[in-house]
Amino acid sequence: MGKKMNSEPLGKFYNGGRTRTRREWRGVRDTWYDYTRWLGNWGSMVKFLSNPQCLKGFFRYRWMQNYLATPDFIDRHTEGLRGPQLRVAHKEFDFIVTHVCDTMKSLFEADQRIGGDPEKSKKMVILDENMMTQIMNGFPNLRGNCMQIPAIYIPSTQQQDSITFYIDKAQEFGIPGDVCPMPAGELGVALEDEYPICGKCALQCNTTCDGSLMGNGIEERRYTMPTWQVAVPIRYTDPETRSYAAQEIKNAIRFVEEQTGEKWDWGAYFKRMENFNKETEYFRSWLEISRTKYPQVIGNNVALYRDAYYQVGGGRDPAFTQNEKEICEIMLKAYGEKNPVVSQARHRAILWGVQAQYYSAFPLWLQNCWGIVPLIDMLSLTSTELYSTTDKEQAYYDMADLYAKMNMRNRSEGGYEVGVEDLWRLCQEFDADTVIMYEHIGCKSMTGYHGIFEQEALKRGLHLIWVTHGLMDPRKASRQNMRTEVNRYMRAVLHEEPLDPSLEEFDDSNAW
Amino acid sequence: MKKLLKGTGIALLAALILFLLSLVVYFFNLDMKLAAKMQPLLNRWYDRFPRPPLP
Repeated sequence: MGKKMNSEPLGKFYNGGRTRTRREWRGVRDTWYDYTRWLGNWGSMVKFLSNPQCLKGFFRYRWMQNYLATPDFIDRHTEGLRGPQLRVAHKEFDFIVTHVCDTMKSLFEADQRIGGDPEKSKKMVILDENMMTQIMNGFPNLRGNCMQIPAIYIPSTQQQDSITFYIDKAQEFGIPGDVCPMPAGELGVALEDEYPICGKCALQCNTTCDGSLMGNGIEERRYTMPTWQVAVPIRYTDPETRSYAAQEIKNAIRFVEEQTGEKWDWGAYFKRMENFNKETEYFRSWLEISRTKYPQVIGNNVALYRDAYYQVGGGRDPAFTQNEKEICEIMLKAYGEKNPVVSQARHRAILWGVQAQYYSAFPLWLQNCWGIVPLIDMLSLTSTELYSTTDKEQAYYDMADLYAKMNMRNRSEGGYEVGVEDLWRLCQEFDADTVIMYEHIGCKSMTGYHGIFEQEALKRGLHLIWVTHGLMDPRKASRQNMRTEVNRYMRAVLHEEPLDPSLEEFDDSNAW
Repeated sequence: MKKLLKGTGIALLAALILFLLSLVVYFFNLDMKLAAKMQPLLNRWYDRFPRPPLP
């Protein structure tokens, strides 16, 4: 119990129940800071629920109950953190809380099922989950909204069993049990008729994968609006696919124009891409610091937030840019002071493969339990290019490039070069000696590489630790199963002792 | 003047009690413990909505 990292055993807070026994004592300064942020987050949520439409939405949609666990979600993602890392985490996660509240407010205010405003609904374009949103940058009078993000994607990180109900519904419908739980869960929500009814038209997409697109076909039957499917090339590194991909973007823009009567606005698009480029520059500086001996923005402080501003924000919200500027200031100051991110940094790791949504705080456990510094994860290593803010024809290619390099598919699709070869290059760049290799049981896209990863890691003298999971379904592989795979490697191969033995094995099977 | 002082005193005392109470709620995770108790009740509520036939 104190202001230093690893000053109290964190595993003792888990007693097999839904919640932790108490919050962490981080010393006066950090505990006070965490308390004020906790108050602020409750303030955001109370403000959200004071809107009558939002209250109606809360009591209409089953998935809304998952948001009750938001403070617990933040506690999980700040566990053991102190000083600058705690502040960066709160800057990111608290920002996401307010952003998600705003997104859901806009959905419920337009939701015809609960008496929303039809005019607001007409100004809304529904986007697919895991779809880049830059296509909306040229429609300043429209709002792009994704119904699956608040219904499935975010809840899957809030409560580990949040979407098992919907997965079961999809299986009752006839979907096999071994498909990816993400499109299965999304489909379950559609089958239960639990998507808000809003939007003038919808854009669907094969990001992350074609499995997702197949689920969309059935989901469309529940939509009451015209739907267009954007098919992004899988082998996007092949230059021959680029003109086709750009044409797909042009077609989608034309579809939105025809359905909504709005015209594409190049001025608005380029202005927002300037913002997006600025955010990319900030991200580059995070990476630059992570390559040094004193990384600052790492692990959980990169992963979920990067999803939010790269994919969902897309340059449209200048508040993201301001937030990143402030994060950079904290980071540079901490770097100048050579601030350590863990009490004892034993290994520098790159996290590869797709993370488990129900254990998104896993990188933090690596830090707290074994002193493994999770420098960067595969889903965050998306495009760091700066895109054109003047050339109209190039802009179509840029958007197509961004769609191909969406977080969850950038490296799981695209072939050997981006899926395997890049990993070894990145290990060198970041001076990493360990690779935490996530293996999502229900995803076939990277399965074929399994043997190659092992062979190549051995050749390079890297520690490759497989962590098997079920993405959004903890019944396939529990959080403890994931931890056990690391524990075994650390003890049997490296003969190391944990920094916090209470975290090696604890019962969080029923926890949120 | 006396009334104003008394009113201010009561407001400050109430704020102090609220602050201490919120600290207790925060530290002992009472907000989340209450939320966990609410979930089964909410599930019963959501079960009441009729479901459309499968497409």
